[in-house]
Amino acid sequence: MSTPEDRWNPEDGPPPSDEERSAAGAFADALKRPTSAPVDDLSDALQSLVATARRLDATVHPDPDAARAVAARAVERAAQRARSPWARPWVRRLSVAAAGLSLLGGAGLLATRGLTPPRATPGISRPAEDALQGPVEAGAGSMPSSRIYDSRLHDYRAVLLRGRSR
Amino acid sequence: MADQGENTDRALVEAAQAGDSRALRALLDRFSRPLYAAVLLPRVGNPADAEDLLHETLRRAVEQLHTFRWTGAGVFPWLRQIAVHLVIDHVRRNQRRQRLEDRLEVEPSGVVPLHRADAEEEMIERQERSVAVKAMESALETLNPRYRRAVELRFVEERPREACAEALGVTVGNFDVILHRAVAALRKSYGVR
Repeated sequence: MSTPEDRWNPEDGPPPSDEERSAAGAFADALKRPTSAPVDDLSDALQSLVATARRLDATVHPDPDAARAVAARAVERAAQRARSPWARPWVRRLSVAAAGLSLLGGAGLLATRGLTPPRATPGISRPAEDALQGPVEAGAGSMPSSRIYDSRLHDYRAVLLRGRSR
Repeated sequence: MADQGENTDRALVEAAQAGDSRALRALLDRFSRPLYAAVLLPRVGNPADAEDLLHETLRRAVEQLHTFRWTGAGVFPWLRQIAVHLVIDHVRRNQRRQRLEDRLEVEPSGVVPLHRADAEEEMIERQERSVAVKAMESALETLNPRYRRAVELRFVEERPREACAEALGVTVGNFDVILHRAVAALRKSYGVR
């Protein structure tokens, strides 16, 4: 026994699956909505098909009254926005320039700080005479080479510790 | 007469560029309806999306008006270009969101109307609408003749489903399948530019 759905015309392509019939039914239902009704609740694929159908409708059946109302709303909003100071090019340019100057200032400050040597950081290449003139610490070697070595090691540790504590 | 229209538009643009808010409003008033009804809506379909895009078009136009340089074509082609770019961005955003693999089709540049500065709004809208109709017709031509007929019956002639099914000699359920396939195929070849 055949149902009306079985009479599929081969000219219309391959016979549809149940899944395709269901999708086609959902599309037919979506088309029953007014063209201005939201479609956010539909699947992405269905929204896309409805948008195509609405494009056709808008092309063939324009609605001048609706278009006039939309245009009036848009003009009103644009005119209000145009009255705000931000709409003026010179205000925007001035703001961009001020932001740019602030950035440049910040970058300059960073660069300056970065380039300044750490405050009171002792060098590790003090002249050998300084190391030799100082008092010999208890337990340290008294040979000049040992005194120079100890002095530089001390300075090196100081630099290292200062760097870690920053 | 034509020169007078052109001079009026040019004077409006120059006054708006100089900060005259009434001139700006007059310009926006003149072109917003053709932008919405004949440029945006036939390209995006959804009235809410088209309205959002109109707001954005006018916002950009107001912000960038100082960059506009007068030509004999007037200000509409400049506004149209802003609107069409926004539509293309909108379609691409949707395609990314929906993970569609369809190519964004474009129409040949020959179908873009040549506008004149002195053209009336109705004339501009008619020209733009003829572009949209041509785009639709070219897309319809790519369809199987019975699919095309299904689209024409339902969307152009606005016949009820039952009448459409009867005209094609199929059941309503089969008509729904044909229309679903037809619109899916049409979506791929329907340009937006």
